[in-house]
Amino acid sequence: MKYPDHDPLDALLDRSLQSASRGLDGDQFRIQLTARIEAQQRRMRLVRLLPAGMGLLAALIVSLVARERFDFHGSFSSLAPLWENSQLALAWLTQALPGTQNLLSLWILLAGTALIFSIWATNREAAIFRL
Amino acid sequence: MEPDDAELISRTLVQRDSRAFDQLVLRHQSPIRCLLRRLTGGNEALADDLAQEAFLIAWRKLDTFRNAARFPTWLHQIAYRAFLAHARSQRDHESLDDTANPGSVDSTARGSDFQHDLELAMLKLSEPERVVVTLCLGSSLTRDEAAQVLQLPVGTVKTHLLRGREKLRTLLAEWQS
Repeated sequence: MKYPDHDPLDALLDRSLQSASRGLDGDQFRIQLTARIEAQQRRMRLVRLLPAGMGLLAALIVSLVARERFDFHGSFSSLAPLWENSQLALAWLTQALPGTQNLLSLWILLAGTALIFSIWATNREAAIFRL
Repeated sequence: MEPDDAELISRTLVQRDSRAFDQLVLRHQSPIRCLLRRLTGGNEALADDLAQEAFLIAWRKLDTFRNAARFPTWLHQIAYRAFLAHARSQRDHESLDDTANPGSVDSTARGSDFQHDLELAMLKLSEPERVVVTLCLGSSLTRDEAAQVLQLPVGTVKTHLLRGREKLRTLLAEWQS
């Protein structure tokens, strides 16, 4: 913003405000920001891996049940619907492995937490970035 | 010759060149931090934290940046939104004002006596006046750009700027000579 030369106070105001806005050293700030970006990249990689991990676990459970249920040398006529298999998988795991009950609880808790965190993070960013 | 913002953005997106983004940060961090310091009443730690959050969002959303606005305008907009989100999380703006020490002057004021008096005078402006003065006179945004950042009508921005400048002139009248 330009002011007439005869108003030195306005000119001084302009210069001083611009000087204040341009005078902060950015090296330390940039280093800290880089560290935060790298941390966020790690978190994003983890979040991307989480669904894959859950999918693998689910596949493992189903395959374990299938191995129990199916006679691979016989017919596949006893193939149960997916939902039934899932229920059986949970029951089978609970019985077969000591401490499975806790493991499943932990898995469900982790999945729920990840979901809530994901929704929270998305909403927070959306609130800030409503451009 | 230094590359312009558009080239640095392109290098960040296409070549995944983190040094290009570093250059953008170094180029624009000062006005963003200065704005946030003024918004937080001189709370440097909080202001820098919000500035980092703003640049973090900019980094993540860089691919959505369109040349409809200049890059500094876009950054100021994100920073202002980050501040508003923080203020909302404090539940009321009053508590934020309480945490700011109205007598404190941030490190940008250590340059000269006038600079010191100017920072004290800035703290006596209303928040909208302080923001508009900082954007238009400090960060050299146009009134239209300031209106875009603050989501206010241009006329309102002009009014805040006029009143803010007049108040500063009154508060700093002894420097007239």
